[in-house]
Amino acid sequence: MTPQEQAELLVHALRRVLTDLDTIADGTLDALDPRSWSDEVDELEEYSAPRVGTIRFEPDEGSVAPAINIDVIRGSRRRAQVADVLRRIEEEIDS
Amino acid sequence: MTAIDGLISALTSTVGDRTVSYNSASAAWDVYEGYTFALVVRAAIAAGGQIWYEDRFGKEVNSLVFRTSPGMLYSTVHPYTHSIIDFPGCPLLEAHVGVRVQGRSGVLHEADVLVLPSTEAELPRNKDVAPRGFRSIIAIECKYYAGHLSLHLARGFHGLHADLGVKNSYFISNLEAPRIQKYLTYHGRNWERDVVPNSRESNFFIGALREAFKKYQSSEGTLAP
Repeated sequence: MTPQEQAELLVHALRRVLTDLDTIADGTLDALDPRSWSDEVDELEEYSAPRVGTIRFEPDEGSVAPAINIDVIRGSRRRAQVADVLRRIEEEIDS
Repeated sequence: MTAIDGLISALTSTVGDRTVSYNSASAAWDVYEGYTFALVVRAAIAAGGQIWYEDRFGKEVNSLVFRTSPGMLYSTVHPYTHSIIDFPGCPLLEAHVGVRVQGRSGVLHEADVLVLPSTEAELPRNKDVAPRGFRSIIAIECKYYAGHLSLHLARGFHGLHADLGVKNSYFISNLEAPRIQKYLTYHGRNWERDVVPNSRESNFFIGALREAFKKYQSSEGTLAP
């Protein structure tokens, strides 16, 4: 594998962790939204299910992993910033 | 400084902002487990279930709290939440994220997403023990990786489920991993790749989970012999 191919793979991997994760966060709350269950429920208007407000991840006893709030990930402007920087790195690698 | 150096510096400073835990290696896995939990809920709805969410103390909630790493189901460090799944005429089920579960050997393992009868979940809540794998209905191993998935992940999954004895176990990933798929297929294990929002594979996986819930309803519900 050439250095350029390695660099491209690295950028691809960074994108998967840094920006695709936002899509996963969005997809999670979308999948839990009862308004999106029309394929699963015949009469959606009559179906009663709570709408999930937010999801937090908190460390349990003995864990030192930092807490995460899915809303912060979704609401962050960082997604666009990171995507832009990664795109420019890719352009530099290609040039 | 080259242009690339400058861009990497910009990336580091953006990602290094601690308001979002991108800088935690486990963050991606946690969020992916949350997504998988959502697919379980979706499959339960598709199988005719009613859903609501409760915390560790039985209080109904609509803001969910999961663990950043696997813990004991009886933990009270935070009001960790789970979903209740109610199929008509069947005993209630619960879906949990990131809990320890006991194998046949007595060894504790980790389940990224676990569906088990409420009666089995009550046991750990009341007696501070782990739920038993062989009493559980669904266990899902979630792998969110930036690049290559190593074969040892599949070996670990196969060994784990030989001990757990969960009725329906699945290995899912955000990536394609041909060697893993070949290995798991050979050993008769369920897997799905490319399980990410808006992918066909996510829908296939919901279908597989729905089948598991249908089997549960026929064996435990009003259709049961």
